[in-house]
Amino acid sequence: MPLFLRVSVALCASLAVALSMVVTLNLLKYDETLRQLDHERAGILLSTLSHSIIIAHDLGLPLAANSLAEERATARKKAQGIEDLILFDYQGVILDASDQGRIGKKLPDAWRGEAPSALQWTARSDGRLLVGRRLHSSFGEEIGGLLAIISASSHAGAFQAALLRWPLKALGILLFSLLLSLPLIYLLARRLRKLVQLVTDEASPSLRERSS
Amino acid sequence: MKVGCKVPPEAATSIDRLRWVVTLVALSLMLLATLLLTTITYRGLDEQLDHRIALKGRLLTDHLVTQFERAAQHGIPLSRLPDLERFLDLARKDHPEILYLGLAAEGGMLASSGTAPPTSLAVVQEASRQLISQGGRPGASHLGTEELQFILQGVSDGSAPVAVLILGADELFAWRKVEDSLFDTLTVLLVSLIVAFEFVVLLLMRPLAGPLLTLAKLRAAGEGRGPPVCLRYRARDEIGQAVARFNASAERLARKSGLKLRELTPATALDIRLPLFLFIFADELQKPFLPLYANSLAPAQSWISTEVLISLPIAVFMLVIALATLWAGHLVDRLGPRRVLLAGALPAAVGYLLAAMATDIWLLLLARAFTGLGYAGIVMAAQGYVAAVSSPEERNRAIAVFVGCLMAGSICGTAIGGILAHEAGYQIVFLLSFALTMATAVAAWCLVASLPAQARKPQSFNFRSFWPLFRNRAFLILLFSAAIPSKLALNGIISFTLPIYLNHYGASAAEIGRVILIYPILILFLGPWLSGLADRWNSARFFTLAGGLLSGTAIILLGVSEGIGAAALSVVLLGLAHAASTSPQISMAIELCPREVEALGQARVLSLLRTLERIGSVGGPLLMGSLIAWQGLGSSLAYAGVAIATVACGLLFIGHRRQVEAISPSL
Repeated sequence: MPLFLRVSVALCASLAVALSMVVTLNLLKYDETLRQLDHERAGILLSTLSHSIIIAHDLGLPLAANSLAEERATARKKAQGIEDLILFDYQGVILDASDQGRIGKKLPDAWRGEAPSALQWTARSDGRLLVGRRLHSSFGEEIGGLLAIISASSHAGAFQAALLRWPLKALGILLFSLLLSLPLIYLLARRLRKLVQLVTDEASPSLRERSS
Repeated sequence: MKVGCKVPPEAATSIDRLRWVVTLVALSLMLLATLLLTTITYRGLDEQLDHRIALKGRLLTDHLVTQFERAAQHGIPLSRLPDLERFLDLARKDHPEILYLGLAAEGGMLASSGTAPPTSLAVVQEASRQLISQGGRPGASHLGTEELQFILQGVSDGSAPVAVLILGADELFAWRKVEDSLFDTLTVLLVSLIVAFEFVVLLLMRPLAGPLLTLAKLRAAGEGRGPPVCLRYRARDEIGQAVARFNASAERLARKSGLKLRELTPATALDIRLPLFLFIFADELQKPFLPLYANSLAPAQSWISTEVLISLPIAVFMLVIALATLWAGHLVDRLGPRRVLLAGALPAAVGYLLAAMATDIWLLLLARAFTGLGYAGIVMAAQGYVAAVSSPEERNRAIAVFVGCLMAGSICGTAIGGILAHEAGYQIVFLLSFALTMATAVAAWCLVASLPAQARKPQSFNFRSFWPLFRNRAFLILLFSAAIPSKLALNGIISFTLPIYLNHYGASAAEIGRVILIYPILILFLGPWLSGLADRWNSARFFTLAGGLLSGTAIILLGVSEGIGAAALSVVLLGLAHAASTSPQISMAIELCPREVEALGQARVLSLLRTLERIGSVGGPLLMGSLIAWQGLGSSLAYAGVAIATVACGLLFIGHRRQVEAISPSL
């Protein structure tokens, strides 16, 4: 590899590493922020719903008599990516869900969060984000809970666009920086070539002397 | 290949200067490119986040308005709602981008939470008054100012609006997200700079320091004597052409003189740099979170306390390294560094894979034992290679390459490991370590030369021959007062206790990584300067003692104070303490054991010191784990600090004894 190319490759590789690490970091942060916003949106939605359910429960309506069909439709409109809203009793038995097959079954343990005392929790299952909220009656007794399932594709569009656009921008910046540094690379390569010449010119005389 | 002569100083200086120039150019370009990229990224981020924050803001206003309307529809005047401000504070608490929440009635503000610029507030209050006076139930309306994006939504009592809820979302939220990741970006830049340096070494310095300097050395050695020599190096660049010309002359000479042509492989210490850097990078990735990962795998109930259990992965790793190092040294002598390096990558990679898949702590222990085995093999092979390819005159410089590479890998690994663990999870980090170990093997296969048998000098390790050292009281004091406590502080405090401590105060893995990172940076930059000072002032003992006392003080400070800032300060003090005392310990050992150095050789005395100090590496995490289980985090740190400072005072007794020795012959 000629010296000019060596200097160019060294600089290009260094820049590529720096830019790819910054792009990866930005993408990870972006993904985290989008997830956080999804989670917070679902939290607000569950908080609104839980107020109505608790008031109804306090007035004597059994938890199982609640239907979330209307709320589910509203939630899908207001908070993108909400796949399902699930209502379950204090034992974790599902009372209402858009998938009728789930009703009567127990909520999987992985969906119930690690801290049993936390009012609200998040979990992940099959790439989906789950946001749960425990329901307590006005007397402080736990009566059940609500769970929002946010689909993996809730922010996939925005993230995939960034996944495509940001590395391309980084590539553009890399090429621009390399173009900018071409005169410097040329100068460095020339200095290197001089150094090689200096050393090799000094290296050969002893052999030449001996050959003659 | 060793050519027993000095490198021409002008060539070495030119190469050094060039290396720094290229690295500086790379740094400037990286800064420029990162700045450009950050600006462009911010614009895209701003558009996307603004839209999502608006969605969330509308949902929150809906939620709050529903509750106010419920009260209003029951005939409760909103102005008489109790604790209204506290209610708004609570509603805003979990949403950092919501900077302002207020409830405005026709007569003025009923309550508010957060702050907003007065000019903006005047505008939204006027808009609120208009909304109420318009009548009917208005939907959400948006009002943008420079600092805040406002959402206004009317609160109706069932017939007409009675108030307006005002929500102010941060217009600069995207920028604050960029600011939040500033430390991460700086860390990534630091790592990139080190990686850039490694690229410069690999692509530019290695061919210069290898074939080119060998040519220069051959000339300086005076190739007039002995059989002609040709270099085994082929490349289509200017260096390759120069080597080809040199080889052609050598062949002509061989034909003419009838002498046999000797072939040399231009191996240098730089050959080992990339494989070693990649491996240390891979291994240090787990440093900011290993105790936390162990904690997540520890059983809820066990016959060993959790604190001791989670200290085991570090202790087992260190123990396996300590035992395997002796064996690996023999193996390097027998098989050569290249083979041991390649073989060492296998158990290390298996270890990382097992760690990523570990379902319980016992599997993690097995994984760390495998990695320890590989670590010992790879590091010993690298050390053996550096020693084999460098002439005695170049030995110090070559060892500096080795140590510099260890520190560079340590900085990069710790920094990136923390960020990656925080963003992607612990398992991903171990999988990256696995991939980097595989890359280590590939780099070793391509770059490390297979050394001829004469370059390796097998040395047997006979423990009995070291017996005189165990009878040297000064050596034992140095070992137990300085060398072992140093390792105890490094592995027991920095590697084990610090991640637990910082996690306790809510630090993320990325923040833990950044705090730990301070240590290798200080050692790398201040270590040579402080050890130089110790040499110049001829005060190795003072520096070792001061280092021990400062180390103890730093740990006490960590024990009695709280928070991430205090931890960072303690790591700075520990870094200073170790930068000041590590090299002087070596000078002290040589100074205190003149007879043993004469009988056994300096290298063997120092190797015993290095082997025995590993007692601190193995015992440190175990001791701290037991102390934490017994006394809690703060007290155990304070006790450990007091103990380290107290044993450091033992160094004072060495001076006293030596004075007596000096006086006694004259008596």
